[in-house]
Amino acid sequence: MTRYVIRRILIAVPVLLGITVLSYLCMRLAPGSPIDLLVDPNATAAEIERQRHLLGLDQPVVIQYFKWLGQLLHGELGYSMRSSKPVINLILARIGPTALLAGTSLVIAYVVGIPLGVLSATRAYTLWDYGSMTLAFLAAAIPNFFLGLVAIYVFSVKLKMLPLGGMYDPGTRPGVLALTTHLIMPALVLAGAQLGALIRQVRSAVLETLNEDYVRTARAKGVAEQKVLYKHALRNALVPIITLFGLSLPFLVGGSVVTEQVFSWPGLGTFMIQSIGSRDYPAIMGVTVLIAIAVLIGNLLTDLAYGLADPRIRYE
Amino acid sequence: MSNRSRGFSKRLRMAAVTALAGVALAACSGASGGAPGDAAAVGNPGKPVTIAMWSPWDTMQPYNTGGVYDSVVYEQILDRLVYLDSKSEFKPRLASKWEVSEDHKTFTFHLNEKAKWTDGQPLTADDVLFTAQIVTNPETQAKSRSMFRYLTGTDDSGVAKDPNALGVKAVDAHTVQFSTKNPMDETSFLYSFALAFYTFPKHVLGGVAPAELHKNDYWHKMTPGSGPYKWVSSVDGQMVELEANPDYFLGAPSIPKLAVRVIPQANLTAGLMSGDIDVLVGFGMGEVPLEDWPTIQQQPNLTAISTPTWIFQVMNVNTAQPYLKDPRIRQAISMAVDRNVMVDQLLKGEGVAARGPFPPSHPYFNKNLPAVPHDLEKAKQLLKDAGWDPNRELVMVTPSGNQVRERSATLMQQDLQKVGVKVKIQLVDYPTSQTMQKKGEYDLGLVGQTGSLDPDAVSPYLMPGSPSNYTKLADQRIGDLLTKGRSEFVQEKRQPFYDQLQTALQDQVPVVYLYHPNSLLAINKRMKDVPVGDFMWYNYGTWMWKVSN
Repeated sequence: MTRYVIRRILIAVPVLLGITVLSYLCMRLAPGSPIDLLVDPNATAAEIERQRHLLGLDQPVVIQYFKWLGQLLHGELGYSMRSSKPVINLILARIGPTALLAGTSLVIAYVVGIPLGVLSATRAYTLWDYGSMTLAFLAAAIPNFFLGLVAIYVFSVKLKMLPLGGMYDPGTRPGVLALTTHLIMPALVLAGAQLGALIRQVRSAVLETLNEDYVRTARAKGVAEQKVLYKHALRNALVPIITLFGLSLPFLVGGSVVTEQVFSWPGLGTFMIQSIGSRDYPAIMGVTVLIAIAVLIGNLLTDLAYGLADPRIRYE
Repeated sequence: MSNRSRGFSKRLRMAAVTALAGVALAACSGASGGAPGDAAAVGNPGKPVTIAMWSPWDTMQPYNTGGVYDSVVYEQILDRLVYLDSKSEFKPRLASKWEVSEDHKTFTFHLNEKAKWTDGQPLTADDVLFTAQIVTNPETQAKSRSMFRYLTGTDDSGVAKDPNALGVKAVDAHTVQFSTKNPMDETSFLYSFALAFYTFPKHVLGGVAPAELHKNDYWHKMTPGSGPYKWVSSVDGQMVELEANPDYFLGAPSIPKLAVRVIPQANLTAGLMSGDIDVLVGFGMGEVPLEDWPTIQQQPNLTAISTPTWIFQVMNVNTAQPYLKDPRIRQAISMAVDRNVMVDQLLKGEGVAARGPFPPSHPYFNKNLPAVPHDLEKAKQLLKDAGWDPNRELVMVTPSGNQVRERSATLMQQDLQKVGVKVKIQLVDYPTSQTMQKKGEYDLGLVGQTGSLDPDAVSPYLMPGSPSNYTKLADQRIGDLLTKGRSEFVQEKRQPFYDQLQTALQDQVPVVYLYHPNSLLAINKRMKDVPVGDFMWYNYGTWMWKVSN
């Protein structure tokens, strides 16, 4: 097991390297340049060249990549071209809010989604099933931004119950109550986006295992239905659910761009969009590396969790 | 069966409890990880006045920013030499008065003697001199220092090799003199230099190496400042909170707390209606979306203000393309465009059709300049005479983000179709559009430009050979007119050149001038004495604002 983990981590290093090469290339191949956006229209050709030099953009892209990589190996992500601040500070300031929002929404989605999916499967083709399937389809079909805007209109503008956006209001200090009221709308909207896929995934997984021979055997032995469901069916249905969960881990870091934008949430999603919009290369790469690491860790944890859920899966 | 369902509902209840616990837990950890301060939520004693814009600031260093959003914040904390109001009149800010020498080459500013930094140090001519020297240093990263090119001792980029040769002199503790290379019109110097000149604290930044200035911590907190408000805290990219500077030399602000918030365009209307936003900055930086304008006008808590601006939306024509070289073709394109439909339908009347770069309310507007006729027959004739190939398809590069502009592209596509010019719209993000137009990889390109009180501000876009001249037109006459207009320093003498320029632009059409949109602003009715019109020059005059609860 330990050897397996070490091997996976060792494999992750070249994978991460490959990701950085590809994303650096893609980013630089995209049209648009930070210089065209940053330098004022009166600047002469000489001044534009000087600023390019100061930002290191006058060197060949390959050299720029290796310089960036060298920095990364020293644990540095460089300075943002847009704001001249260290990228690491900009990311650290935003990772908390993003993890809080995405984490809360994940918890909500799973706590609501798994029971509804199970209910749907055990009562297949009843009103319960149709009800939760309708909810699932609605959740999957309504675009996030639309749901967000409707929620803002109803709860902030009309009912004046919840704040419009941000993490806290100007003039107040962050506190649990203030934070919770700011979190409710974006977290629910974001949870809604995940709920659709989750309910359907759980339903089909449970439905499938309920038709397995061992479930029939268990029932034939006279095992209580509760036990059949939780000991036999649900445990076996866990593998696809774990996969889904593993896939959503990077989401904790990458956040939801749209939801963060709509609710002015000071997270990484908004930051990524702003960075791309200004072709802020160091900032884009910083967030990319972070998400890549999250994906790799997410995959590893998922594989390990398979073993826990299903003892037949062993890693040596 | 009933047993099973009871078990289930119990589990569901459990699930709900866990969910709530999860939220609360997450909330706790988030709060402790956030800014220090009271753990408990405080009520809302003296709700701050909130200013909203739709994009975040970047560096906060006035001479090293690529955008204008920073100025909404730093204009509260630092002081510019002068203030410009909506009637195009300059008023004192850091400078109480100023004079121009006979030869129009020396500009003397007398600083307000009461000016001081919030740490108690006086703000003197030394601070002004220091600021000019460090910003013009070749080592300094300052993307927008071209305004210094007017001063002696600098090159065309505003860089001074020798700080002692720079045309800035501290005459005494409260008097500064700027020397310019060429005689300058007072309005132009005040607008292009003094209005944009912000002073840094020498006693804080004096020891900083120029190459390190942009990384300095000062730009994260901007303390001490000298302006009407002091930095309190910020959530990067989202909000800056400010508090009044009771010792401000132009008078203590009456509003104790101010917040500048970044709110996405789609939520500005909701924010205004809910009372979360008190003041919009307007002028292309935070406006009511046109489709929400009627709603905003009906709100009992809001004052809706539509202000004419000098912003102009244009369509660049790439004259380097062989098939767009003939001015008759460009004239035909300009003539085919129906600007009135644009203003009436797209802008719902909130704007005016453009005749050239200067709107009718601009002091340098050519009063005899005719409107560009919308004449399809004449356009067809011009195209025929110039031998236009009706099978050719032009690429219209359109930056996304401005809905009215995106729709105007479709409208123009239809207009041009009518005269036999096929157009393909290429919708790209803003950085891509900028680079494509700069490199000349386009036929027609849409872009917006901010207006200026100084007519010379149009020259980088039109001067032959300038990096910002995306049209690539190297018309000697236009170049001469721009140079002559710049070298005169009295409006009566400059006017003829700019009059001719506007006519020449209608003749050559390197740029199809489309419309000047109004700025659609709204402010909460609890606000008073907010000089909304002055916002056009990024002056907010916050120390004059009043609020009633």
